[in-house]
Amino acid sequence: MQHNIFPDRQLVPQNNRIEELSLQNPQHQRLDNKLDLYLIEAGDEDVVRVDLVINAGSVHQPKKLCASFTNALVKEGTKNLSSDQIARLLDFYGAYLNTSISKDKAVISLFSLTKHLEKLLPLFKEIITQPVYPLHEFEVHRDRSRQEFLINSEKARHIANREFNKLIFGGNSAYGQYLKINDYELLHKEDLTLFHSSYYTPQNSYLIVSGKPDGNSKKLIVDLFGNSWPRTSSFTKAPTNITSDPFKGEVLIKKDDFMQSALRIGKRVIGKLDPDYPKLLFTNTVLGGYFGSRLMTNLREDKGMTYGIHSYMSNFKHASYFSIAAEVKTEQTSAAIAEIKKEINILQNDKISKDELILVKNYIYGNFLKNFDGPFALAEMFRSARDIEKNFDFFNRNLTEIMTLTADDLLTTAQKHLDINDMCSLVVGNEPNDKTPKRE
Amino acid sequence: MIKFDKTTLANGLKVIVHQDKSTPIVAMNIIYKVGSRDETPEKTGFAHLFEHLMFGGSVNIPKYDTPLQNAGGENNAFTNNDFTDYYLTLPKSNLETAFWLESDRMLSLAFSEKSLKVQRQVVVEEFKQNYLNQPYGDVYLLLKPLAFKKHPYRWNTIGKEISHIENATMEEVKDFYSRYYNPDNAILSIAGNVDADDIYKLSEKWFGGIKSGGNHKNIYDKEPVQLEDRELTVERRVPQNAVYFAWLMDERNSPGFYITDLISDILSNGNSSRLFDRLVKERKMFSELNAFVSGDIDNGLFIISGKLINGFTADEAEAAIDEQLDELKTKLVNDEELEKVKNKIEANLVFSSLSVLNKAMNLAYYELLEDALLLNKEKENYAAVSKSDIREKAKALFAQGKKNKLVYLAKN
Repeated sequence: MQHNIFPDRQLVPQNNRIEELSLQNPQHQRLDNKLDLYLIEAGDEDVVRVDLVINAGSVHQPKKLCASFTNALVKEGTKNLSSDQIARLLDFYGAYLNTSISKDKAVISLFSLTKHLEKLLPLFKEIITQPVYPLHEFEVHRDRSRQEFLINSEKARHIANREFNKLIFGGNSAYGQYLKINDYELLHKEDLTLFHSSYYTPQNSYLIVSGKPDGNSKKLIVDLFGNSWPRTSSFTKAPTNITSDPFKGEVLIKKDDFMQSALRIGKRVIGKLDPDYPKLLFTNTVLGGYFGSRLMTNLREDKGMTYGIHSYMSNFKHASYFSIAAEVKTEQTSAAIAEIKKEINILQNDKISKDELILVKNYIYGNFLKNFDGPFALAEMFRSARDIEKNFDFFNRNLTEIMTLTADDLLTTAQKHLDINDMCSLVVGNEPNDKTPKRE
Repeated sequence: MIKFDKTTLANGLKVIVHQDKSTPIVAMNIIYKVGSRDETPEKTGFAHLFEHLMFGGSVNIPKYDTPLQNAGGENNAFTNNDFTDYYLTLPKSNLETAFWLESDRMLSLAFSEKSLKVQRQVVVEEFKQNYLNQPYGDVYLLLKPLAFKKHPYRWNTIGKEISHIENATMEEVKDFYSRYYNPDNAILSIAGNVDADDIYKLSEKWFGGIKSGGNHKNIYDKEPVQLEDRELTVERRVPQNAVYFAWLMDERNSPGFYITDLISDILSNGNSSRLFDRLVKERKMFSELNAFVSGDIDNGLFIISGKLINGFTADEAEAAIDEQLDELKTKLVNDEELEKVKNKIEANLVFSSLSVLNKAMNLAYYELLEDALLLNKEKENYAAVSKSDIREKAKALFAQGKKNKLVYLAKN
């Protein structure tokens, strides 16, 4: 005989006090060559991730594409190993070597099973310190990247991202620089060698090891990246002309054959170290930072104008911006922009309800726990703190402050930091009712 | 090895529990055994549209997302050819909220007219954003009906055409719900710092009273044996020519699947793989070239897709690829190459179990295939493949008359 306990479905199960996350800062060691090594031992699985973070992002490059090519091509041949040999070794041990580039940093990451790490570390070191940039591999990468650039140039989303970045930082600045097709011809393999020798040095980098490395691997890491990686006389230059004045106003890039319009609306904002940052982070979440946000609720769930709309903050070392992004029904482009402006207006003028305030705080708390789930996630979160010279305490402090924010804080933050008159509004596609002249 | 416990409630709901003490987060995953293969040819895209409607409120809960976000949770869902998957994560202390939410929408939906009207529009925008307003976005809208003539895999999950979505009615929504959204057609899996007995009790409390739906197992038309190569050429406003080849392959639950999957890895997993090494790097013929299996439960597709470097023709591309396939048919792969692709499988299985959400999803998926235990047998299944298995499978897979070719030309 089955006994079902019929629950009261009208009643939300009592929400309990969410468990706290105690974040332990990584073990830190400064090696003999002054390289900072951070060790995050966590997780149940026998895997390891090693990230070398180098101050060699695009802001430092003397020529467009130089930073990204220097980084991406490290694994395409070293003093002792050909591109093929490197690929075979990595594949044979089921390992991954990822390279990524941002405005400020270049990152080279190795993902490996614990049992194979010791065999792969010398290769990882060689890739970082002794790439030779063979001509054939350089040309293959250049031709493939150029094709990808051409395809992306047909995508509304990519055009919008590229143009918006240019508008927000200024097209002639280091942060606002944008690619043209002939930039691929102007880059030579010698540029990469020079950039590498200047920037890929121990004094310009730090290392994060996360997961479950064994004792031998830990020793080997100290040996390879400390003792036997000498400092060199540095040729790095502090970047100049990083940003110029942002564009304010409306821009339309007309694409008659596009079936949707890609929108970007935003402005430059404060960075992560500003005392108002937690408040702005919270304000952004309310507006467009999660599925139940006001923009998503209004434009998607109420009006069906778009598949998705989000707002976010992009923080870089020297400047940051806030942006709203969506692809919307062409015939409702103007209506969508009007709704976005309306939502910003409401944020600046009407107090948030107690229920919504609590909901967003709870959402942020749960999301915070999730962001730190797993050893590799910890490594990524730590990197974002270390890049602004902070550690995990930074997140704890932000979270504690967000939990104390009031409806008035939200109002003043939206008024102070999200002034619609300071914003740049970009449409890629069609805006039938718009009278703004075309601007390329 | 992913340890788990499993039970079946009296109404047929399968419940799987995995304990992971390292995290304060719990993941809940529910698979409903309904996908686009269960649609009729006149009303395609319905399973996916329905997935959107599952967030439009249930009988006792006006809005699914609000209480979940209040509990610090996040969720999403996806639909494919074979099933629909709903997943969420939240702090463990609020786990019961997840049971309340998921059981209420299994009990009954609110069937709101507004939700249907809005989500039809949202899905139409999704269709445009991902398939139409995107270079090469319509490739699978073209390739699938070329490769399948009978089986419902011949249309895409998003649907054959926008009008099918625009014409969906509330009556169809209700009928679909009562047919497929039942406990005996679902698999619930939970991963986190939880105890199996506690989860069984919560499952009984919240899901136990929901009536089972009876057996609605659909029979799918078997795809007939292909006798002649097929070809389709289209012109589009894209920057480069591209070619796509598809062959009908073994079903997911068969030894042939593992052999075929390893063939795709030999050809294109990693920078040392044959297609990348020889045709992308050495001959500089393609800017992108990939071989992969579709992973469907019934007979799915083995696909090779390539974007050509300007100056090469589609015929040259095809000849170069055929040469690689012929080598697989005539020469045994060497030991090191086979060991390499097996090692990669082993590593990927570990990399895919680093979060509670992935573990919950994987367990439910393998239970759908047959038994969650299969997840822990994957490594063995691949390890059993021999060099001659690969050669014999390549002969059968890429035999004369089995090819489907889509040539996608850049319009000037």
